[in-house]
Amino acid sequence: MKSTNLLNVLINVFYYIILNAGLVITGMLIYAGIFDDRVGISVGRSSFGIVDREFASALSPKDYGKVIIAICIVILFIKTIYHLRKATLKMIKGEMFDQVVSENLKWTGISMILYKVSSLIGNLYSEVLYQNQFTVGFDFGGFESFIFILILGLFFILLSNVIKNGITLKSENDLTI
Amino acid sequence: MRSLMLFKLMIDLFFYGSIMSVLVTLGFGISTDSFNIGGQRFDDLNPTIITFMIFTLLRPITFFIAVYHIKQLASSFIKGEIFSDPTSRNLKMIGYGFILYSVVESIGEYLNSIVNNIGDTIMSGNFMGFNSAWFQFTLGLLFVFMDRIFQNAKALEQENELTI
Repeated sequence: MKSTNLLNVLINVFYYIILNAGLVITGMLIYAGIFDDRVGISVGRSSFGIVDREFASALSPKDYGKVIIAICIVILFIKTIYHLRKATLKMIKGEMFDQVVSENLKWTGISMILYKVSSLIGNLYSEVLYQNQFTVGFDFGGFESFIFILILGLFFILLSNVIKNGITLKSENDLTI
Repeated sequence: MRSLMLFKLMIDLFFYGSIMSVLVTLGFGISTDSFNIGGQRFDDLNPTIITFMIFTLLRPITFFIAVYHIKQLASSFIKGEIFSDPTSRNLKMIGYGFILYSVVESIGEYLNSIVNNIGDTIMSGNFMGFNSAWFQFTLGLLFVFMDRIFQNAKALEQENELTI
């Protein structure tokens, strides 16, 4: 029971922190994109960093592409945590075999995969347009590696199917009773 | 079934690829005349550096525990053992693996900041992205919790079979 409460607190705090951080980052990016007044905000050119401490130079058309990709990444990450939170809260309430849990787990997996695909596109975009290079290869670097997040995303989709299986079992059981 | 096979193939590729990449990295580290962690050389060994080295080694081990159990879980699913004891045990182990990984990584990051004098980095606000320790810890707890759901489903399945 203690671990359930801890999970409840952690997922809620994490969700609201990233929601606020995401809103601030997206707001700054939109501000940089719309006003482009060379004050304080710029798009990192060498890395995929989005906010620079140095005074900004004017945004070029390719910078706008990077700003849009960065906004997509932030939105997809928040979407992942949103669905994960919704599924977790429902499970904590005891409604484990529910359509909502299954749907949210499926969307967690899909958002996770989309997040990683867009961050891969962002990195390739930066490499090709800013550094004139193109790297292809497998990345085995732990949690943030493309293939691992893909596996985790597929795993959540698989879990949603398992929960669907559980829903059928439960309804069969209820009918028998 | 085809998607399950694809999932199993991917997890196998990732598991063995990661092991090989860690072995190659360690091989390069041992072959040099001074101690080497991730391309960083240490000529003298003090307790902080030794602890840092231990945590650097523990990091992939805890990660492999989680990946190994995901691999086992995929095998169970392919065999059709969905709501069974091995499945719930594997889910629990994945959860513990993620929790341990997040703790080891946070401590490793902190030790790294001491060893390299780059300031305090513990809980430095890295919340965005799946690399954040907070996310990994929460995910770990979720998997531990899921073990209970699977046990519940197993009981339901047994009840159903008994009724039939």
